[in-house]
Amino acid sequence: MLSLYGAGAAAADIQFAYDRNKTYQRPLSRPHDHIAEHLASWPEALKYMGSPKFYPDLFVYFRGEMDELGWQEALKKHLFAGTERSDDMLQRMFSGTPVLSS
Amino acid sequence: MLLGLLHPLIQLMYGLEWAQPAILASALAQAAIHKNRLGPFLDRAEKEAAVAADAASPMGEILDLFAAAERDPALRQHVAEGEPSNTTRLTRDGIEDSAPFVARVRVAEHELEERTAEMMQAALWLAAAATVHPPNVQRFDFFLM
Repeated sequence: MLSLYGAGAAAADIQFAYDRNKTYQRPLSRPHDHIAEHLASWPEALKYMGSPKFYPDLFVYFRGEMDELGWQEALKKHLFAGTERSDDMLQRMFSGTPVLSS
Repeated sequence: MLLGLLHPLIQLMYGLEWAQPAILASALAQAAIHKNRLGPFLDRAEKEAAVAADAASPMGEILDLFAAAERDPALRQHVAEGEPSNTTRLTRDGIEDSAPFVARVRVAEHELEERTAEMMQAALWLAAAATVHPPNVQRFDFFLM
């Protein structure tokens, strides 16, 4: 849908794509209690990475980072700082889908 | 050769395109839920690239690198035609050979735009070559996406 939007598709086309693809979407799950707090520490955060289970918590955490730092500084910190943490995240950026094993 | 499927990067690019923190946050979260299978390979490639930096021969053209890889017996030994685990074999079992090879790739800041254009061109050639299957006509919808 983002591709369609970026290519200038009409609203009706984007709606069509949404309806066609919504059947296989995973349900939204809720964040777990207190996980987002742990994600600030490294390497502790690694415990909650690498599987879909903690996606909501990771999203909440990164959303908070965006709010607190602004998106540019948040990206610099989490992808481009040259730290062990940001290098690890940068490497995961090149991944496929979690379902596929390589 | 770098075959993760780049999905988190795709999401990140959309977030950057429209400066949308929610999309960016979902891109980071998406990256974080993936296992870091390419990590050791990428780490090693960076180290090899740093060591070679001063003495390095010029990178050359991207498609020439593909041709060189295709001819290279050290790389060829790790892949077999039609084998789904070729990427794993190259980047994990064959890391001693594959990491130094990819360390040849380096882009200076002043050449970023030109190399980006060249990368798109090379990717198009590869996608086109890989999908030759007469009498079928190639489609590029997915490639464009």
